[in-house]
Amino acid sequence: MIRPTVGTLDRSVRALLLSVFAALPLAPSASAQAQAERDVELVGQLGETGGLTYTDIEIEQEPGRPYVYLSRIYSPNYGFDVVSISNPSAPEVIYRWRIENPELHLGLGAMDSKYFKLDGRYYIIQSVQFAPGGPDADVGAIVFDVTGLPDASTVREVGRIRAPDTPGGFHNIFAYKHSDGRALLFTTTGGRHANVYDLRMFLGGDEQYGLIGRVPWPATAPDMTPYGPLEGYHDFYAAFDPGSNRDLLYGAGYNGYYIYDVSVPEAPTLATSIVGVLGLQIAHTLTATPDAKYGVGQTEYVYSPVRVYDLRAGLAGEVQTISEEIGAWSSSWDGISHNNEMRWPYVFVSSYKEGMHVFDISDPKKPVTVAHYDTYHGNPEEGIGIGPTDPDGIMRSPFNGAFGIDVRNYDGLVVVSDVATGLYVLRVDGFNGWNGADHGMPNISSVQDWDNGPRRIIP
Amino acid sequence: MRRSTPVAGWAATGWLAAALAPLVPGVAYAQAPRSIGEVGDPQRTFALTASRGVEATGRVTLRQIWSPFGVSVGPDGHVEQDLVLTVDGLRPVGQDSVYVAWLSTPDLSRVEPLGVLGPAGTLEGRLTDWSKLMVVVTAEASRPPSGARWSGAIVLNGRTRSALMAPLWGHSIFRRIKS
Repeated sequence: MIRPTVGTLDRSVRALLLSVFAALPLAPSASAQAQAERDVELVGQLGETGGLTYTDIEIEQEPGRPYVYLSRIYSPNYGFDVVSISNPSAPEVIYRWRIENPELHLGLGAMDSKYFKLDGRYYIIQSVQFAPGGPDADVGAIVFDVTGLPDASTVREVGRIRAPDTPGGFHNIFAYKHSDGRALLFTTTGGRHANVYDLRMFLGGDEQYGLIGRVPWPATAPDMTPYGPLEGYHDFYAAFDPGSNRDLLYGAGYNGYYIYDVSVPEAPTLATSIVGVLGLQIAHTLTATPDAKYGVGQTEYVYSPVRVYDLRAGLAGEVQTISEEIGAWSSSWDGISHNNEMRWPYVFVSSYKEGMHVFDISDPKKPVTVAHYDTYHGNPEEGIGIGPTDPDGIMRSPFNGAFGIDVRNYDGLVVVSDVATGLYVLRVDGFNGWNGADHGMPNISSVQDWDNGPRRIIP
Repeated sequence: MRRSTPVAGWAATGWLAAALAPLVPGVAYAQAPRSIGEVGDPQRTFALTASRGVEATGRVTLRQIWSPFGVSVGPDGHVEQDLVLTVDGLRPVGQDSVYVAWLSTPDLSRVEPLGVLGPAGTLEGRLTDWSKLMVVVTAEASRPPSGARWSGAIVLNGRTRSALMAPLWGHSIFRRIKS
């Protein structure tokens, strides 16, 4: 396997090497591949087959709350399932919610879910995307009180967050425990900005649904992608940086990544950006190491690797923007990845039809695959469509297989949502839980400490 | 004193009456068509989608109301149209149950019953102030009271082409809408 050395090479040579790199097989050798698959145990699996209806996934983090939330798309499945994994080897659906009048709704449906805890009560926020021409095009998210689980009769809808100025809903959301103690929600919109909501204000019935600010999208033109011109934000990751004592929002905004200081969420300020990266067409997702030194950026098109960026100079203000990666990883030469969860030094990736991967970025310039599980065994051509159906009835698309991924920190359980086959509960050999302090890092990940907030502790 | 011929005078009166007749409420103008457009005309027709498990078809044709001014509008300026709903293949319902057709705005903010349907047949109605709209056919336990919204299962639904117009919101990769 050939990897380019990108540290000190000229940009033109680097670009040439990357193009060669992208064309060559990147998968490990057959024996290494087999070893990687043996490093993951399938603990449990559950799903309804016969459709392409599962999107993102969320797992609760507290030991006494073994619940997984699966978002569902397409009528009549618009909604989410709550799965109990009290016995991880026998997951069980304990509650289903579906939008009223699903036949009349247009659009994708339920895309992303995040849970939060406030004043001792637990809530799930389900983002939805419904198209104009049908009901609820102005609804971005629906919030449910799930405190009473596993008693499904206690689940109740507490409200809907509407964004009538940007119809089409919220594609992705991120619930964040701010360093000032507030529970916030960052959402993508259909416009050239992201919204910031105060969840306590929303629950209190605020007329503006708790909207306290907007994160601008600094690009000056839509990103010309293989899927047409796209603008605005696609995904978020928010985390506190103890080193600089700032709340940072890592926004993926199509033509690049934009990292905002949201210490004052009502007035976000641009900290740095990652733009002008050779070959980067769609900035889909960006996560960061707990120390905010490195970013892991994903795109969502075939042949494009996951790139690792050194954020230090940008966040320190030493450079105006970051325009090159320091490392790259890909499942295969024609791979396409979707989402990731950072548990330094491991990055857990949902890689669509190639399943779930874990790679190690102890050396961020040389990511190494350490585990893999293939969740998808269906038609290699079929997927959620972006174009017309072929005459043979197959929607040819790469968007199938492992869509969402999440990690339970206290015991290391990994859950994956597969578009076609639903929930996979996995254990990665040797990964029995995660705390940043075990790795000399702040204990910071996508998991929020809803009771205490981010700790200003650097081990 | 000159006298106009009786025939010419009556001819002029007849022409004037013919021109003015459509403007007089209640006056039928026998020679002009009430509605324009054939039922099923592809330019004016949209299909209804059957809900899962329902094997029925339906279509809606919107026809212009004839007007000497080209477009027929009501006193408040809304375009007037005739709606013809045709369904076929619905299963017979129980003794007290009925199929009911409804008109609705796309956001369900306004819902009005159009009428009761048989398992196969046609229903006509006059639209006076609707633009984008959905047509929904439901199976109801009984004929609904005036102003009520459906409570039964949706069996067929469709919407005008104007209701499908959307802003450039779609940053999502998945643009195809699967029915």
